[in-house]
Amino acid sequence: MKATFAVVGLTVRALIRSRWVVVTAIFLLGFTLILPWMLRDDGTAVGRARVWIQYQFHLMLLGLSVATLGAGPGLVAGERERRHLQQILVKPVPFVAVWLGKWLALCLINGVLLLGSFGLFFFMMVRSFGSGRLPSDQTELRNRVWTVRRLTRPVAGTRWVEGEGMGVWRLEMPTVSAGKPLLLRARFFSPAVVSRWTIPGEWEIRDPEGRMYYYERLELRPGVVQEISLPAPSDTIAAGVWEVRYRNLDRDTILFDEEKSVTLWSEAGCFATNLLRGLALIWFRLLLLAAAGLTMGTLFSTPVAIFMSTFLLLLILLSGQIGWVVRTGQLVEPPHTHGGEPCTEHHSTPLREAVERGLKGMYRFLDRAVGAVRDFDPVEQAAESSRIEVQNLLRGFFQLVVLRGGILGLLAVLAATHLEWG
Amino acid sequence: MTECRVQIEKVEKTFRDFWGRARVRAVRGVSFDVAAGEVFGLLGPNGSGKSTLMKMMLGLLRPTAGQIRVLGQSPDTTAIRARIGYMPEESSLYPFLTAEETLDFFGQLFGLEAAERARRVEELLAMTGLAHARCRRVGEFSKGMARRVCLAQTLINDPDLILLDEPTAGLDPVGSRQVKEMIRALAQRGRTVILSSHLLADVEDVCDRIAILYHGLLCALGCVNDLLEEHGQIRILLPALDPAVREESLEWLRRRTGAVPLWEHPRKDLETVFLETIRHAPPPPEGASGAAVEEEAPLAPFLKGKGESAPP
Repeated sequence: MKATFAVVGLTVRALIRSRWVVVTAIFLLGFTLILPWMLRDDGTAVGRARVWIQYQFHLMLLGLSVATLGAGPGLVAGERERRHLQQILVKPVPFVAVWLGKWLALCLINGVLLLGSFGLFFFMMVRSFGSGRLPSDQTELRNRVWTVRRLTRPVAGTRWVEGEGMGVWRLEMPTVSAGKPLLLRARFFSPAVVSRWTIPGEWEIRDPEGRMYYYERLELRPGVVQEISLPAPSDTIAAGVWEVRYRNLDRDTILFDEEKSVTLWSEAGCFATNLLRGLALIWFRLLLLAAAGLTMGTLFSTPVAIFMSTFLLLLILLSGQIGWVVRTGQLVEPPHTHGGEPCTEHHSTPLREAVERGLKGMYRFLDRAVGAVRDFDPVEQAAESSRIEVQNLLRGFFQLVVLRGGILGLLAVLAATHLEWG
Repeated sequence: MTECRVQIEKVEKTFRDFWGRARVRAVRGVSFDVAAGEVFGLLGPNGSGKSTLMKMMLGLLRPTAGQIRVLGQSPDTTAIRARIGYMPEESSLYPFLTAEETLDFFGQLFGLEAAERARRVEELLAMTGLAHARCRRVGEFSKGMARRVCLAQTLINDPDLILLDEPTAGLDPVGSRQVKEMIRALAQRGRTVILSSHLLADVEDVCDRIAILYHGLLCALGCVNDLLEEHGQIRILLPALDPAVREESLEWLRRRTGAVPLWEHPRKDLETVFLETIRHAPPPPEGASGAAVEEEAPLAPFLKGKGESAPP
């Protein structure tokens, strides 16, 4: 372990004295400082706060990802090419200790930069929204942003029934404390032709004991997320199944929902703690990228390792599209039609099918490799004040750091035993 | 019987390209042994396979054929490296570390305790004449000063086997002489030293035995004295003689042996002249940046062995 800690100290010094830390810190803190002037929001305090959180998290995630993948390959491939690593490997130090030391150093510095950037952002946010706002804005912020809510989705099988123009969803809610307001989020869709800009409808929500909790007639805009603040209960309501009903009052327009169309949000925890959990998920992702950079540096020369690392980052950024291909099984858009008749340009041939099978296999592999990174993306959750569960954190740590990082580390160590370092 | 520290048996090394095609045969069927307390020289022109052979002894390269045993084990064994010191051909030190940090870092790799590390760093800095430059970054050093730091890190673990690849390259004559004296001193204390060089004078000065490599082949192997001695001739050294006495003596020798004797004034070598000049030069000004030049190369006390390194 002594050798590992020696390599940690060496790598931290290398990153500091090569000015990697300074440049990355200037970039991060600089953009954190000017970010409020670059935001485009919807004009409301809630909208601005959410966009700010979202952009800041994206900034930290992307900025540090690029910096980590830039530094990682150089710490192994660069040192091997300058013959620095050779000097360490002729000492009684196994390669795994060198790799681990460098990885821990990157983890440590990334953590410090992440916390520094987040600290500045949080201070600026508190200063910006803390005073000088209308009381209504303050209330909205307090109820919708400076809080953490647990999301409850409808129980499977409760869906929209269009024949009656009504939707009924049952949601298994945890205990709702007295004085803690609920939030309803809904989004419905409509076919291409909509007779009106907004659609009138009735909302009806009943608690587990069947009592009417909320009733309101509201206008709804198809395709847009509707956020309805529900009143806080005067007494604590025990956990149970809530029923949400919606009746479409416009008989000329057809509405339909999707799987996550209707959700109920109850308060659950502290806003700052939730942001820190989001930060931890970002950090786990950086730990994985650090492992990837170091492994690329072990396997390839510096330019090739940087190219491979950049490619990996690109795959992670495109993981949404990769996931879509795997889910839908479509590599290209379905054949378009000409006046109702399917276009005949796309012929199915054995070769085409074989290529598609091969490509789909490749997409599935890529989705398995980088899909987990997308699954533990904290940005949306942090911006929407959605609670990041501890279990999710632990799963993220296991999936990203232990499993994927471990596989990469193992790959590097196995490769190193077959490599010549002269 | 003397303990064998290094055994090289029919070792070959072929470097291959990306596609696995043989590109260069750097070492071809080389065999020799090195005993404990011996100073062994690997001699040969550039590209003769000296450094490759050394890297194979360290496990940095793997032999294509043949076998290497170092300190009784395979060079791939991590644990034996605790008993080896290696000075590469290029210093390859971290330029952002100071001399002191560099030695401390390498000391940590050997698992030395902080107090012991600090003592050894201090002694090695004094030994290499870099005590005044301890806080300067190695990247700012001249090649010779970096070489001294590299030598110091080679010895931080008080190794049993010391591998020196071109140890005097880049050193001034003073440093070169100090390194040679240090090598002899270490060998006297039972350490085994293997050095590679193409500076013939250096090898001649310090080595007990040498191997001459050429294009990866072992062309000669033996004791330095045996290889250098010209058995058919002798040289007699006398104080300067009066010309008449000299001629008379030569004539006598000519008559007695039938051979034509030659005479000349012996020459000092340039290294000796240079060292004498430095010795008599005025002391360096305050704040001079180079390595300190000592009258004698002081061997770090921790390298002297238990009997000799009595604490003050």
